[in-house]
Amino acid sequence: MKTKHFTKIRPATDIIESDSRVYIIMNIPAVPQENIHLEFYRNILYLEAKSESKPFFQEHIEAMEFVERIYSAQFMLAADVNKDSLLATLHNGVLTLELQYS
Amino acid sequence: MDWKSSFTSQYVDFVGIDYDTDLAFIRRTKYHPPINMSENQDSFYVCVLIPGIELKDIEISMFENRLELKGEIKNKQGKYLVQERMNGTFHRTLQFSHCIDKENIQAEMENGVLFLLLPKEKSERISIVPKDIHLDKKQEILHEN
Repeated sequence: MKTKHFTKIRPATDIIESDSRVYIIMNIPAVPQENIHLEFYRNILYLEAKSESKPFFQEHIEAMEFVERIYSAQFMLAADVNKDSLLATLHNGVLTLELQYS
Repeated sequence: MDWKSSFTSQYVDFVGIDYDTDLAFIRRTKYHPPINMSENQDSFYVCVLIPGIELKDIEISMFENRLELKGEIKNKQGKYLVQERMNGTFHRTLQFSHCIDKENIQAEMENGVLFLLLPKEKSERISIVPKDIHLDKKQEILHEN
């Protein structure tokens, strides 16, 4: 049986703060919603997301500049961040995590 | 605009932006979307990683056998604590070995990946069937030589 090996990388991330909220924005292209796994452990937020590429013509591959990968990231949250307020949205390969300050 | 960024943008314009180099200072100013491309008898299939943009905001154009992808990724406004995601304009050019049927190019965007199906122009393919030279003609040719 053939085993697939995935490259594990940390996604490019922006963190934006407002008076009441913090936004964690990550580029995770080619990841369907069902492949995103988010988990809290104490005050650490873990993300793991596996990308999927559509099958393409196998006759002649001209260029291969990206492969399937696992995006992995950890964020240590400040004590005043309300974990229950987590709102995650995925749009055009960009995952936005919105958290409120308590 | 400071001296360094002004210099960089002029340099990129001069080069033509179709760069496949490891020049890190150029990469910092413009996003170079990675592509996967494959081909079969009828079409080319191209996948481009461009997270954070809608299909309608990508300018897709064809000139002869050259495909051009242009656009701008706009980031959210606010107070940035960390900024790693690329933003600004991107430009990628692909040259194909066959003429493309421009009327039937299909584009689809899914999870930050642009999928393009580019059918090959049918008139390009001309099959040539070699015919046997008639025996008498063959002999004539031999006698002539």
